[in-house]
Amino acid sequence: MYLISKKDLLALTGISYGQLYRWKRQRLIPEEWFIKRPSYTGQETFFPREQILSRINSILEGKDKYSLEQLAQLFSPDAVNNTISFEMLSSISEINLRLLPIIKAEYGKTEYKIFDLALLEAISRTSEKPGVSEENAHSLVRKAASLQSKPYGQTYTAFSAGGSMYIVLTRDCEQLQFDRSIKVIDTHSLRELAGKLNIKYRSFFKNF
Amino acid sequence: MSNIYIDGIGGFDGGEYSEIRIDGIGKCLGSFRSDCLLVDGAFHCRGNIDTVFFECNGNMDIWGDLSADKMEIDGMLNIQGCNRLEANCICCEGAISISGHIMTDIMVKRADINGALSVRGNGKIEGDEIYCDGALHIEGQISADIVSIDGIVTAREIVGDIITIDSFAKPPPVFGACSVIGTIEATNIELSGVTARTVNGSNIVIGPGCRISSIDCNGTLSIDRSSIVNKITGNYTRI
Repeated sequence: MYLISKKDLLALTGISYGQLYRWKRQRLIPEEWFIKRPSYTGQETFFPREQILSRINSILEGKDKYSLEQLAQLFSPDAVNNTISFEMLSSISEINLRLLPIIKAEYGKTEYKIFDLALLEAISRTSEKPGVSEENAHSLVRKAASLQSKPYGQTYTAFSAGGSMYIVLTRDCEQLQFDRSIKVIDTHSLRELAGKLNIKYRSFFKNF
Repeated sequence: MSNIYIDGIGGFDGGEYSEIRIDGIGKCLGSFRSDCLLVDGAFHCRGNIDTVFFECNGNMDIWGDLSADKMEIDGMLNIQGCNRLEANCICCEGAISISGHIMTDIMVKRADINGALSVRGNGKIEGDEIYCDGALHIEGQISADIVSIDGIVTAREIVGDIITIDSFAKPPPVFGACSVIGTIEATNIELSGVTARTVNGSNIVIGPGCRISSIDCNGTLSIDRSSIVNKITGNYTRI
């Protein structure tokens, strides 16, 4: 997991200390992303680079359309119960249309939770990576179907070992180390993907 | 809903009430909800309190969580075993002391501490606006959009948007007393009479009587001649 220091984060995104801490208080940025490490000045705060940059982008994009409370709701794990029908999956451009038949066959359900969508988006992104065949993508969907009841505050990692592809879900901020025989193909924060899907397709969801 | 008035010595087990008024010595053995809680005498509660309005002019001990829309503390409030103190508005002219073995988080929209607030344990205070005209002691973090302190503060960390601390605004209670803070981080910072390890911000004014180990500034920086700063980093303009 790559980390970014607070100072670099503020310089890169152009946000102020005030904004960063306001968003933390509003639960837009999870407290566990503030990772304190010793430094020559005493202590320095770091963040998981990919997650925090993606989250800040989402907040900056969404803050003119929604209030901070609404955004916090969209990123909250409570939004996990939002569901969407299978027919609407084809309207979600983040999900690879070629995967829809296998999704229908493997999941075998009519309503999909936001966790399912985030996972399917992650697989769709993996399926576009060089060297990932359609059969590999189908096998990932088959494996993902067994993970459907888990909460989405997790990091998705797709890796290949012995010619097959696998998925592992870990808690955010946890670092995975594989030996050389295993190749990491793709990694995404499901919480981030779910938050973005929640914002973009808000009107599609039931229970919202 | 019924009311409870205690003028002499009395107690109740908890429940739901409209008004609870303690003018004598009262005790509650469980959790309760109320619209209004007024304590002019002494009150001891061993449960969680959820009330709309809470006024304490006497002495009160709570063993549990406290939630109120508005809190006015002119007397003495001791809280122990509290995970969470939540209020829209806290106005303290007296003293609030939070202790015990568990970490207490104080969530508030606006706090006006004109007396004293002490939080032991690694708890935190979060709010939109925190004003203090007296003394504020917390072993953890203060985080608010505006933190304005005209008095003495000790904290591990103060973070937010605008932080102003003037320890010379009031005569110090002990000769030589000054504010001692580990880290201060905010967009705009103005300090007088503050000892801090790290100060990070965009626009920083270090007034008289400060001792700062390290400053990281990325805007404008001003340092009073009487203050000592060991190290300065960042892309700043000295004014």
